[in-house]
Amino acid sequence: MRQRENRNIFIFLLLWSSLVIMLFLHTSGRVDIPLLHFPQAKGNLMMIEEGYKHYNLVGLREKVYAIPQGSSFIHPRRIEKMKEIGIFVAHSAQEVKRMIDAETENIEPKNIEPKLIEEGYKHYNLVGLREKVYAVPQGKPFIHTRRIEEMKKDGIFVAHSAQEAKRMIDAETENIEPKLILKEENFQGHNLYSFGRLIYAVPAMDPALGPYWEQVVGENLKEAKRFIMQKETLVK
Amino acid sequence: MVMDRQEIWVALYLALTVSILLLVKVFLYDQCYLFDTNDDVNHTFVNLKAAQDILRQGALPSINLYNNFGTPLLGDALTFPFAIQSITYWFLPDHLAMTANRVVISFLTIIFLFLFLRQFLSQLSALVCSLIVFFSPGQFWNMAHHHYQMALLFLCFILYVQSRNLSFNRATYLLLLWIAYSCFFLSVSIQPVLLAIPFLLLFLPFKDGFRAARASVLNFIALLSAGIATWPHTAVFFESIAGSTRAQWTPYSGILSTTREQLLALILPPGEWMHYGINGHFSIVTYFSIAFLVFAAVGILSLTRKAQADSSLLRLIILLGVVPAVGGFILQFYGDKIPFVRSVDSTRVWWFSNVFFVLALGRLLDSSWKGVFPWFFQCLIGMSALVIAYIYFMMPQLIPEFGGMNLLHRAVVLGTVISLLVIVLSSCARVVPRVQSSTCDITSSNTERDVGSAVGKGLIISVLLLAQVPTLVLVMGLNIKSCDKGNHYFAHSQEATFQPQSLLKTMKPGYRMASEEPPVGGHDLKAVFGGVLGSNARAIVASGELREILNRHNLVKLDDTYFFSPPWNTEKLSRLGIRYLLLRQQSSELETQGWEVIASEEHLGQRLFLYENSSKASLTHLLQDEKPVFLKSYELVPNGIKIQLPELDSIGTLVVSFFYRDSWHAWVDGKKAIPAMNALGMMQIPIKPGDRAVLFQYQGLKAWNFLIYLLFSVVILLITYFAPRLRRGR
Repeated sequence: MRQRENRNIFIFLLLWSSLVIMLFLHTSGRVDIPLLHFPQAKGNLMMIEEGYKHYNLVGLREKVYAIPQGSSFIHPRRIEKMKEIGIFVAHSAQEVKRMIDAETENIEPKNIEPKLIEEGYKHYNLVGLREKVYAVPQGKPFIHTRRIEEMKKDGIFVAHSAQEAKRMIDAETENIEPKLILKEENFQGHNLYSFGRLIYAVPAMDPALGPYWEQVVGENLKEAKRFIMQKETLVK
Repeated sequence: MVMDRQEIWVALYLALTVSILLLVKVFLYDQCYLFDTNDDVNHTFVNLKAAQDILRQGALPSINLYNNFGTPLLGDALTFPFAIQSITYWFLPDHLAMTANRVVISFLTIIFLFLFLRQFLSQLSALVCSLIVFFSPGQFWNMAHHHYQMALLFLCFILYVQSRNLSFNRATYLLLLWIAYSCFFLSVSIQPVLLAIPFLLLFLPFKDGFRAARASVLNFIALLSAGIATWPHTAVFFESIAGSTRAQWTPYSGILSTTREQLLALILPPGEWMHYGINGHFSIVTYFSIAFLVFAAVGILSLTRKAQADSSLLRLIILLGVVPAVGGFILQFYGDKIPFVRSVDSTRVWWFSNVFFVLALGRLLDSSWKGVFPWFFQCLIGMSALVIAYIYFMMPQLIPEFGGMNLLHRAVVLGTVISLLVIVLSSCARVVPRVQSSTCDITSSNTERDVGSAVGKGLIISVLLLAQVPTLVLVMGLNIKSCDKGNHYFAHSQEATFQPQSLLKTMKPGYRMASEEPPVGGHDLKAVFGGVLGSNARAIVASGELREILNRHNLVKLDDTYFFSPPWNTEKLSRLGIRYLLLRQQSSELETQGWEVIASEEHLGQRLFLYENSSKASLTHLLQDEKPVFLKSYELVPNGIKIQLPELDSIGTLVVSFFYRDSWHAWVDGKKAIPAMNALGMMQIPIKPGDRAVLFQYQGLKAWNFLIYLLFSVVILLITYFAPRLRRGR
């Protein structure tokens, strides 16, 4: 009996000591034990607006919740319960207010803020909005409330992922034939032309382009103008 | 109960491994020690330094002049200069003292927990239960701190002495308890002491009933007389806290607002699954684990059986374990209407109730499961196992909050379910040979060894050990695999003092600074290490009245307490004696008012700028034509300040920038003067030509206060000891 008890105690101490050693190893960083990584809740509830049509607007991380006054905040993972209470979830205060106004979560288009995914990929900005990715030529504004057909007319590609958008850009830039387009006239005696991806400055007095083809002045209008001004300063 | 040598060695080994575990980062990382950069450094270290400096000069430490225009020291709930654990600070640097304290106290706590529990449980169960009580989240989190770390140790020690009352003669028993209670009152924050007293008073009556009447009465007298002996110390706390900024503070309410969240928090640490980040101990203190709760409940069930009946143990478990635990839960989450209760963390009662609650667990491990449970208990346990299993497998629908549950928690839940099933099977096993028409059809084992129970108990112990892991990892910050980012268990030794040191050295001792940062940053408080006085409030007993005054003058920003912040009003800051301002960015506002950056340095990726007031404001100034003339000839003395006045040609007012309290007294050339409060809450006295030396002294407690109460206490002890002899003599 006594022997069995001693054996049990020995096993227990062995277990406990193993646990201590395991914690030492994990803390040292030599061995990383995934079992010991516990999730950690983050973020703070923030009151955005109180009493908007009898709803309180509360922000938590990237979302905004409209809670009927008198109800308490429900854990965001309890989606069914939130619906039962009539809590609306949105990505902005404006969007959630529209939901309150419409008395439904199913509003279209949902006013979700566009998110810049990548800047300057072959002179396009990749913008994410809901489930779509838009490749917008740099310098052009992205007005996400416009119809997709209108966007396409403006040279905006619409894809379902960043990869797809890039493939569309690649295909477009490989096939494109550069055209000479007059961008600005008579800027300090120069006309500014775009040709392909570059901007060229041509003295307004001399329409012959030849000698100036070598003067690559910039990748965009601003840069081209800066070069012109620098050149003028040097001459003076 | 006599323990053999092997038992003692086993307990020592367990205690040693716990102490070593606490030192994990001290072993692994250079210059890493066991202390917290908030409560420990900003409060304990700085106030103990102030107190011990005064004690070295032969006075009682009444006030810390270096913080917040003077804050009471003895009444402060975090300092405890006469605590047992304060002794190490006399000999060791603060960070080493705290490290040593935590290690030694943990070691002793495990030993006395074991000794106490061993009286009711087998050796193995006592070992397991000692670990569970020690690592219960609330206790373990708070044992880091100076003012809490002795709480469980004293409780266990006193309970152990009480339960061994027959081993001691009357005088030894009484004296031992009196010393223990006195040290308890002088070493532990008043709230845990108040929470522990019912346990200490009721343990003997509940355990032995009237048989322990004599020991219970002696225990009560020891408690009472120790309370009287230390009353001056306790009374100052009540006096100070009444007007404190924290009196109406309710930091602990509303964290888990729904009953569902409160109940779920018992099963999984809320810091893992709540929808918002929870700071501090409430991220975990409510965590008991499903294993603990279920096994303890089964343990209680097993005790209700006649065969296993142990009414006194059951009484202890129910009345000192379950009832206070439930009471603490209710008060914590539903007691916000009750004054005082709403300002405290009622879950602290669990530090003590767990000592009794865990007896149920131990009893489950100790009892033979064969035939213990009647069929309806078996059904109940079996049903519980099935319900837990059902909830576990239906978790996404039933408890979506636990969506990201860690694998270890899953193992604990499944382990609990399997253990419950093993309990049922083991319990059934005995029934078959005796009763042919049993409800169970399990083949019985007639061997002496009950394999089912052995396996089941091994599984329960493993599950319970696993259930402690989240507490260990989260409380000690073991996932932070360095010491660079301090948590409240570990920090680099340099964080124990003012950083960067060069800025502290730039400031002249005896002058005052303020930092534009919440007091948790602690520069104001740690300035004491360079003899510089700080301004921001941090103490539990920080005056609410001063906060109101400074806030009314738009000088401070309020948080838990308050700190100085823009808009900067140089004239008022000067009158408050603030010569230096420490900022995290340059301020053109200050520069236009004549302040100058005198030093700047980066610390932990943050650049700090030290500004100096062009008026070179000091702690005391003369007002003769409303324009302050700052005096440099003063000296800080224990609990006061001595000022040498210049030759005066007219009457005026002497202002000393310490907050006015009734305990401040003043003498001009030995003659008593009556200080008054000025518009900024500071003290002032009228002065006239010919006045030379002024002394302001804070007269809080006096030594004779202690002596009178001590004497009274000793008289009670003597009467208690001699009264029965006198009666017998008559």
